[in-house]
Amino acid sequence: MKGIAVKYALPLLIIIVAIYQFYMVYRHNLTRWKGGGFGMYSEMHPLTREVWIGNKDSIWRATNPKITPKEVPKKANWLRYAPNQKNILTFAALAAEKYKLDSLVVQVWEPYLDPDKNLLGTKLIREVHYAGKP
Amino acid sequence: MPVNLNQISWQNEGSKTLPFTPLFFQTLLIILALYNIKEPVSVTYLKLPVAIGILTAMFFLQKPFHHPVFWGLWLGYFSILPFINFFSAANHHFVACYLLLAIIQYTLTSEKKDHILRFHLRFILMSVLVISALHKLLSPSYTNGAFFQFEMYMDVFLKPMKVLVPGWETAIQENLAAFRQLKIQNPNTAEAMQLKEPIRYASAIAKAGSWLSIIFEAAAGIAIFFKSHNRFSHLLLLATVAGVLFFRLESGFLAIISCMALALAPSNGWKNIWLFCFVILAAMVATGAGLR
Repeated sequence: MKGIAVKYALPLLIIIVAIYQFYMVYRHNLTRWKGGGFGMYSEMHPLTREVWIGNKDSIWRATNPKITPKEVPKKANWLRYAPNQKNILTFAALAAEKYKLDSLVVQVWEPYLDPDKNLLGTKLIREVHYAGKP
Repeated sequence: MPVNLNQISWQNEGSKTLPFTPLFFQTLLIILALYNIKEPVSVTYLKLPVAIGILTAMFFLQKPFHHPVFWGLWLGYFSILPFINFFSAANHHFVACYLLLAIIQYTLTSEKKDHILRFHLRFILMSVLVISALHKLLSPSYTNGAFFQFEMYMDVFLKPMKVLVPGWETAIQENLAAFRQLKIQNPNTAEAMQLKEPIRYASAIAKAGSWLSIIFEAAAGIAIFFKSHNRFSHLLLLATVAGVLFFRLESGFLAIISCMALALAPSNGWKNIWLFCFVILAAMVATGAGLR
């Protein structure tokens, strides 16, 4: 029994990490790059994504530290890594508080390349309209 | 205590089934040390105490490479980042932790169980390669070549082509400028930008590169796990390492792979090949010519 544990404990750990990563990728929209790292270089890097915050009048990049309060870009980065519904709502609540806005829209965009036409565009991968509560 | 080379066990000891274990320990130590120096996301204020601790252990412990405390120190350091933020650690960070766990387990036993260390090395190699291939296979942007092509256009993949293909560099610079422009435009109104092909048939090259990566990574992982004594398995792994290096200069990760392959080498010839690979890759990490 001890021999089996010695031999298979490490492989079991690796399998658990791999399964956990797949779970996070498919259940919580985690990028394949993180959470075990097995999927590095298998999809766009999360930092190519951009988080945009908007109100009625304008829209701006949340990850630009020059125009946003200190905590916002940091939290926006986490949203880029895992753009799921829970994270975008948490982020929207934080942004509303920091910008002192009653309502706002948060969007996460990802670059997309059309391989045959060589056209580089962006696609919306997550959006929330926040007005104090979703 | 002065260092007496005769007392350093790994200078003299090997084993019947894993004759290159001493070299494996030595090369792994070098790449972990380089990683400690180069890694920007690690806990920076711990770098110096860790370096002092490791050097002290190395010179004051008898047979340091066969001492679990020596590797335990490394594991303690490498475990901090995944504990603080599991989602910020890269693949090679996790692989380093798995390797350290395998070595600690190996050094903890009084009778060194080579077959278990060998099994662990094979399993780590196989899981890293096969699961990586699986992620690629399940990623639509990878299988249609879009990701590969994007990285190629943005100066991440196929960097050596700059010196081989005239006009490559100019096209890349134009594409990078277009991407920078796209990133700051309001995405709700921005129009798609036309990128420049650095080479003809870029789309076909990207698709072929993507699928070759998947096939080679999966095949090498499976071959090395089931037939690590076989020269063909090592040839397949070497082709994968060379391919990945050509695609994306990921020298740090490939150096760790070379360490493991070195320990599993079926002959002296293959030991020398993997050792030479390691030397080049570690030098690339040290000098910044490749990625850490």
